[in-house]
Amino acid sequence: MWRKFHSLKFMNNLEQILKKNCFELFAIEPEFIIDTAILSSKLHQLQKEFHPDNTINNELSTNLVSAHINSCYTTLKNPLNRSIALLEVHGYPLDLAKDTQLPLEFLGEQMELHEQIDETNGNISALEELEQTINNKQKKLLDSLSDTFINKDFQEALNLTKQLGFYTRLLNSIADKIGE
Amino acid sequence: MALLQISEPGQISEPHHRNIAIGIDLGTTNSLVATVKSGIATVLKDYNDNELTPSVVHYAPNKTTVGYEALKFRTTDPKNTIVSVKRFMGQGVELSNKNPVQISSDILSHLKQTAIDNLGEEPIGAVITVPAYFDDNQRQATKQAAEIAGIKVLRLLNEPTAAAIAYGLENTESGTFLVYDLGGGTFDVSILSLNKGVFEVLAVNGDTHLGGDDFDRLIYDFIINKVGVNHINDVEEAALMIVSRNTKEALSINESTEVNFTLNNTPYSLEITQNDFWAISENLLNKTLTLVKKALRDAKLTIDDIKQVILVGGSTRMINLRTLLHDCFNRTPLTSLDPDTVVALGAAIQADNLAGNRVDDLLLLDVTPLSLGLETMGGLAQKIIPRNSTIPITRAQDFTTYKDGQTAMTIHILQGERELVDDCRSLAKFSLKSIPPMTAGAAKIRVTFQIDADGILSVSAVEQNTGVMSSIEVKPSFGLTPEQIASMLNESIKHAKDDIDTRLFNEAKIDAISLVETIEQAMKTDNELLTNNEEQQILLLIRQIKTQIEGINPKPILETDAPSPAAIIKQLSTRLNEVTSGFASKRMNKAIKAGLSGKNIEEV
Repeated sequence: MWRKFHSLKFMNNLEQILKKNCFELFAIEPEFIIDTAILSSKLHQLQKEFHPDNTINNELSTNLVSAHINSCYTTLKNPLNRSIALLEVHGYPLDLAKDTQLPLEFLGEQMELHEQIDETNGNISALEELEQTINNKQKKLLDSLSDTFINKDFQEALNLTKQLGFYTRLLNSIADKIGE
Repeated sequence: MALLQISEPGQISEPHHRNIAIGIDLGTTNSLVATVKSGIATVLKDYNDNELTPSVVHYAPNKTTVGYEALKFRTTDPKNTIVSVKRFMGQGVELSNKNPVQISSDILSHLKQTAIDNLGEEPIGAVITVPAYFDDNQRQATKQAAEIAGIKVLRLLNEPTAAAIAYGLENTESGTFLVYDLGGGTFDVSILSLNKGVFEVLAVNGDTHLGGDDFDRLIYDFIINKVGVNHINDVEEAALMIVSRNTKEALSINESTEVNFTLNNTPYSLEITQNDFWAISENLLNKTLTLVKKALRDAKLTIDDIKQVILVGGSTRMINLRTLLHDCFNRTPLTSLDPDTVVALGAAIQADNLAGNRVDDLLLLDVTPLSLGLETMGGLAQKIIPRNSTIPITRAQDFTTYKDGQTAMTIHILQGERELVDDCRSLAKFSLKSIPPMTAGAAKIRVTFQIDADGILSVSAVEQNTGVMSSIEVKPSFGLTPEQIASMLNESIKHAKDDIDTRLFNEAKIDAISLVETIEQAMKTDNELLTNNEEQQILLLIRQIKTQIEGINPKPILETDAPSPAAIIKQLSTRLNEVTSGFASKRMNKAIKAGLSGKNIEEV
């Protein structure tokens, strides 16, 4: 099957792929719970067809399409990005950088966790312990987020996604500190 | 009578021309070139039957030599003998007044010539391997070096991924594998998942300045320390570095080794044991394990998830390293392929694939080793593409102006994991101008990062309300200017012409010498068959040929119309052949007569 002849049909195909949203592209239902095994096998199937290694000529256009596929894969694999993409599909666009309004209680907890990270002074086991605590909190949040999407309560999903953004930032910060 | 050939059904010879492509492993210590012949990846040997070409270049005023030839100058002319140039790729340094890109291109030209000598034709392109942890500058520099050597780059391929391809595990195995690649100057760890012909890289980590060279240096320091010498000159240093490397190699086989060397005219002899080596190298070895753990963490895996560890790179022969890895992973690493050639073989397989010769499905999904982002307010780095993202990839992010009426914005592109701009590598800066004046925060500038399948970045910025656009193909900050590249290209074309002239001259010379020797021998034995006139003519031509062979420099003559020395020799040889044809047939007759005389007809 290797090396697609770049017929007009193939080029049209490329154009349409660029227009598809991530859920459409990976042919999965726009839901929060996804099967990562299916996601991964779909990625392989799409890239076997569109990766620039497997196509002759027009490397530029296949590079773009292949990049779009990978970009969607990255989006769908990550719960935070997947949630934002899902909200957009349902007409609730979210800009995490701008929209930071959250309950004071939640922000207070965040401040405290950030302080705790600083207090570890880079001690690996302390950081890993903290990571475990935050991971558990995040897991609970993901469960509620999944429920709100099932109940089509998108406004609440939007609020929870903002909170998920904060947890993700905390976890990244810990991972960076452990990495150093 | 010619017989008709009947082939077995299904074995019809290939109707189309096969595109020949090569794989190049451009290593810190050694480089190799390989290709796929009749479906099998093979390393191409040079004219001296060597698989490895030392990545060493020697620059004399009129002559550049590469490989073993250049290695000979390492102790006699260390200043003009460049080793381990790969360590300087993508950096603004000069070695012996040469840019690292140029030096690498000299190595690549040499490898290309080896390929042409073997294949009898120019390959359509090459897959060139790079350390997985190479950043954008280092990748760009490698691509430029290939361009200057006149090589079409089909793909830059990460070394550990190439090694995994060479093992061909994708057909027989599925699961998660870890490639531990310690070369002469670079260290990579790569975690791949293999499944039905798909190689998916999950995470990479590494250090582009950690390799076998560093272990040599540790032994060197150990020796200097032991003998307590303070002053050491260039030549002695180079010689002792070689001794140190040999010691490392000896300790990769034996429990201990005796080291002999001379410093300040004093001969020394030392015993170095495996324990000594372990003591001095423990820190460096543990550093590689830390990077292995980081990669596992990024892939969200533990040691127990790894099905097999693959060892790549000559430095993985060290016994202390193998013991350490065995203890860490609790299993014997896979070493069935030669760690020196495995990367080149994998590159050749992927080159063959990209040249359109492969029929079965093989898909490679590699990742970008370092996060990419840009500078935001307060000297902070904002990540756009996180490390270990599958490539090619496009990611966009919107930014806005922070002042009323702001009409321009500087985009500063960064690579690295740290939060502060100063701790990241600065790749490029460009400006988006002509933004219509708006209140602060009203403009919407979408910055798009795109990484192609070679791992190389380009960035564009568009103001969404007006469509004002600016983009940049990220060029290495310490690379070469387009003018420098153009002049190097010219230089290399000229060199290529010199090389061809030299080869043609040598071929003509060898042919002519053998012709002259044959005739001279014949003249000694059968001089009576020649007329005086014939003899004079032959002697004159022989003299002319000898003058041409000995007296003339094979470099091209400036006037392009003038025949080249090779052409002159050929012409004279042809003339000599013509003049001696009568002589040759007379000798033939004489020989036949001599053979017949004394024998009766039945014996003939």
